[in-house]
Amino acid sequence: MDRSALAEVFKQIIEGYDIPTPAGMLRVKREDVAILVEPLPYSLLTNLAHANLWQRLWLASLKGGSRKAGMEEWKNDFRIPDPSEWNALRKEFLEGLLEAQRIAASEPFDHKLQSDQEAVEKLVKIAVHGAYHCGQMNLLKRAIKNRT
Amino acid sequence: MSQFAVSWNLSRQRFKDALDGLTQEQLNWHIHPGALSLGEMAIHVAGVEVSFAHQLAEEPLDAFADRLRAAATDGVVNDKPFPFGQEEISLPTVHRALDVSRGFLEPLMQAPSNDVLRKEIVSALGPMISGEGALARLAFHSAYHQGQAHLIKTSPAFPK
Repeated sequence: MDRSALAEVFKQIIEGYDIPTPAGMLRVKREDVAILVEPLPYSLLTNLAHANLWQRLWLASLKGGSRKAGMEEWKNDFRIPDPSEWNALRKEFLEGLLEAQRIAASEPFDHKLQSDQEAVEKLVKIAVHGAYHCGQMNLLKRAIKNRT
Repeated sequence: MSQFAVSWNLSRQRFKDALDGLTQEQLNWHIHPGALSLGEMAIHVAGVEVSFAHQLAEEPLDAFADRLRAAATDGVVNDKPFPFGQEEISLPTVHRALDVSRGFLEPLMQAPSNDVLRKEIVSALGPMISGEGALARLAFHSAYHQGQAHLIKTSPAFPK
């Protein structure tokens, strides 16, 4: 895959072309983020924590982190964080998308994986996973708004 | 394979797989008022693909494809009724929609010409975008809706 195309995909996800911008979509009152709206299976906060966890692990691998570094975190996937973590999780998720975009556009290609192909595949994973969770989080946010 | 095809193929196939085996009741279930059902979501995904591909390639649309094109926006980003009624939203219709849109879009995804990449078209929300921008949107659009599809299918209230 051409990396300029991949950088463009990240740009469109981040800037919210035809989908809500992640930054705007994740602007939610802290008291609402942990609300569980039936019949949805988990809260916006749990979804963001999960999305951010995997994005963090994939970005770490692009930067040469150990494959085993996330083993403990995996065990806590889909945890129920304290709402006080919301701002930090939101910030890390948004900055992670920007970092992925930067890596996709970097010249020379700035990664520590064994091949460029492997790095491109990791970035595709981050883009697809990010878009996937933006869709989910937007649905969860609308459910919170509609709950009354 | 071209620039955007890897992400498009991956996310589109996963989205299509998520719909496999669903009943008509499941395809037409709404998780909350105002949210798209899984069937509407699939037809909308196909509709955006048809809309963009039609503008980029200027190929004629038959009546079914033209209704798909309308599903890019109607009932999704405006207040018009969704172009397909619940009674006709079934797995065969959904598969047909995704097959038709693939037929229009795949050649453009695989090998877009410079003219296609530079061409200006109308996006789903209205602004003019380049062909390159359109293909970039389509590279992740079905992933966005696949995430929602998973959430809907794993809801405890999803019809069994």
